[in-house]
Amino acid sequence: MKTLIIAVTLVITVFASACSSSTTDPVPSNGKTGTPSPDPTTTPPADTTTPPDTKPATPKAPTVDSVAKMQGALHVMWTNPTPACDTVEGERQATMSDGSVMEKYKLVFTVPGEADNKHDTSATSAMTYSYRLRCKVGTVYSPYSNVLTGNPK
Amino acid sequence: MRIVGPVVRVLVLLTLAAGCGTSSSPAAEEADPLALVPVHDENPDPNVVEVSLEARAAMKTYGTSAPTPVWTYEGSVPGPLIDAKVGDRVIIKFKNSLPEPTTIHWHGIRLPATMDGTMAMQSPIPPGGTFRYEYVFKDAGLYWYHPHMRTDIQVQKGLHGAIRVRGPSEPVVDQERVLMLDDVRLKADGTLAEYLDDTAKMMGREGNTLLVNGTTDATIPMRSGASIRLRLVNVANGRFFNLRLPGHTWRVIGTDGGLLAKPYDTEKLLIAPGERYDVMLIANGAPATVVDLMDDAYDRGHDSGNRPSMTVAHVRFTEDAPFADRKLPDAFPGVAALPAASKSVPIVLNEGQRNGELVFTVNDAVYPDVPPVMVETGGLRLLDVKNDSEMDHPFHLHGFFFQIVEKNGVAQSLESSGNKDTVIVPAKSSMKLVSRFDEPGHWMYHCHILEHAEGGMMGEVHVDP
Repeated sequence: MKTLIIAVTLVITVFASACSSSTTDPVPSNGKTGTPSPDPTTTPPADTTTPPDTKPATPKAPTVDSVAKMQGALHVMWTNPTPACDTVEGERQATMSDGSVMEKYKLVFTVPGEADNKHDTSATSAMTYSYRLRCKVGTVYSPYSNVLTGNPK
Repeated sequence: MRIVGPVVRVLVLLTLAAGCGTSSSPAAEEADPLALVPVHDENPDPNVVEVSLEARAAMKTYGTSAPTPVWTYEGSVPGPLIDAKVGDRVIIKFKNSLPEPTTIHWHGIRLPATMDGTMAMQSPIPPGGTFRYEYVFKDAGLYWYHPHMRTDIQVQKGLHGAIRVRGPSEPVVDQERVLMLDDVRLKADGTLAEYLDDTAKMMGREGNTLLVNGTTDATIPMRSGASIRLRLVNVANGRFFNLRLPGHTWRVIGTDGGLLAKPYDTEKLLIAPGERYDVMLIANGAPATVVDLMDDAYDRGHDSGNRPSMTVAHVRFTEDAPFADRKLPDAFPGVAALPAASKSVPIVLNEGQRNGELVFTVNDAVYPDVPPVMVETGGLRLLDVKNDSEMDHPFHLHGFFFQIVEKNGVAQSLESSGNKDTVIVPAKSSMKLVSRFDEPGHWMYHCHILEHAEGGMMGEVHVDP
C-alpha cells in the first residue's frame, strides 16, 4: 500500500511538473503568440469575475451571383464565404410592372449552409423579384447580401 | 511491344501491370495509379469468369483531401475490372455488406431480364443478403456495372466497375487503357456532399473533383509516336465530359456496342453519363513533355456552357525513343443494320414542377406512373424520342441495343454510330431509334442523369414471351 502511495505521488509529481513546465513557455492569455507573458510575481491575479468574450463572430454575407430565368421560374445562385453557415435564408421582394412594391421582403426559403442555389418555383411571370440572402450561424446572422433581380418571363 | 488479337487479353493485363508499354522508362517502374484492379477469376475453365463480389463500406483518400467514407465493390473505387471474351459465361457471387439494399445492373449487356438488376425483375438484395448473377457475354465492347437502387446515391458513393469483353476484331495497339471518368463533390472534411440542392436536382449532381479511375490529378504515360487505345466510360451522375487533348485528334473506333464500320475523327469527344467511347490516337508529343487532357465546357442547357475548362488528367510522354510507323485503323466489320420498324413508340422527355418540386417526366407522367411500352418477343419498334425540355438528356435502354435512325429528321449513318444503349437527346430535339426486343421480361429505359431517373424520368418496356 505504501509503495502504491509513493508511486501515485510520483506520478502526480511528474504530471504536475510537466504541467508547470508549460508556464515556462506560456501560451499568452490573450491568445496572441509572441506576446511576453506577465511576471506572476509582480502582476496581480487576473480578475476572474470578468466573463470571457464568448460572443460568436458575425459571419460574412453571401454574394448573390445570379437570378436566372429557368423552367418558368427563377434560379438564384450565390457564393458563400462562410463555410460554417448552418443555414442560408433567402428573402424576396415582389414588384409590379409599374414599379410598385407588391410584397416587401419576406423569407421565402431556408436551405442548408452548404447550398449555393435555390430554384424559386413560386415566382410568377407577373412580377419582378429581388433577392437578398443572409447566412446564419447558431443565432447569429450575417449582414444582408447584395440584391439581384429577375423575372421568370 | 505490339499486341495482337489472340493474345491481347494476357498482354494487356501484363502491360497495365508493368506501366503500359513503357517498361524501358524509369518512370514505368512506378506503380500505375490508373491501373484497375482485375477481378479474381476463381474458375479454371477458360470460358468461364467466376468471381466473388462484395459491396462494402471503406475509406478512400481523394488526392490531398481528408479520407472519404465510400461504398466499394471488393474494397476499391472503381470496383474490379471484369475482363472476358465474347461467349464467356460470367458468374458473379454477390454479397451485400452495405447498410441498405442494393442490386447490380450490368449496363449495356444483353442478358436475361432476371439478371439485369432492376426492380422491374428483381427484389432488392438486403443488407447481408446474397445473389448469384449469371449470364453469357454476347457482344464485344466496354460495359460497366453499378447499382439500380437509389442509383444516384449509391453510384456517387463509389459503386461502379468496368467490364471489357473482347471480340475477334480487336485493333493492334501499343497501349490500351480503360478510363472511368467521374467526379465527386467533396466537403472540406473529406465527406461526400449529400445535400441535393436545386441545381443538382435540375442538372444532375456535378462534383468539385474530377476523377479518372478513382484518381485525382491523374497522369497517363504515353510513348511518343505510339498507337494508343482509350476505352472511356462516363460513370458520373450528371457531368458530361467534353474531352480535348491539345495537339491530338480523337479517332472514334467504337461506341457503346462495339467497333464501328467507319471510324471517324473529332477534335472534341462528348461523353454523357452512361455512354462509352472507344478511341485511338497516335501520341503526338516530344519525349519528356506533358500535355493536359481537358474537359471543355459544353452547353447542355440552363447556361451550363459558361464554366471554365477543367483538367481531367495529364498526359506525360515518356523518355523512350518515339515510334514512327504507327497508323490508325480505318475500318472494322461493324454491325448489321436492323430492319425498319413498322410500329412507333412515342417517348416525350420533359421537366416541370409539381407541388413546388422539380419533376422529370416521360409522356407527362412520373415513374412509376409511366404506362409501360408493350412489345412481343422479337418485335421491332421505332422509339420516337422527343426532348421537350430545356436541357439534354442521355437516353438509356436496358438489355437491348438500339441504332440511331434519325436525328431531328436527318438520317444517321449506322457505320459511324453503331450499336448504342445510351445516346444524348439534345434539348428541344428528337431522335428515332430502332431496336429489336428479342428477350422477354420487363426492362427499364431512363435518362442516365441519375438524379433525373430518380426524379421520375424512367419507364418500362414489357416484352411478352
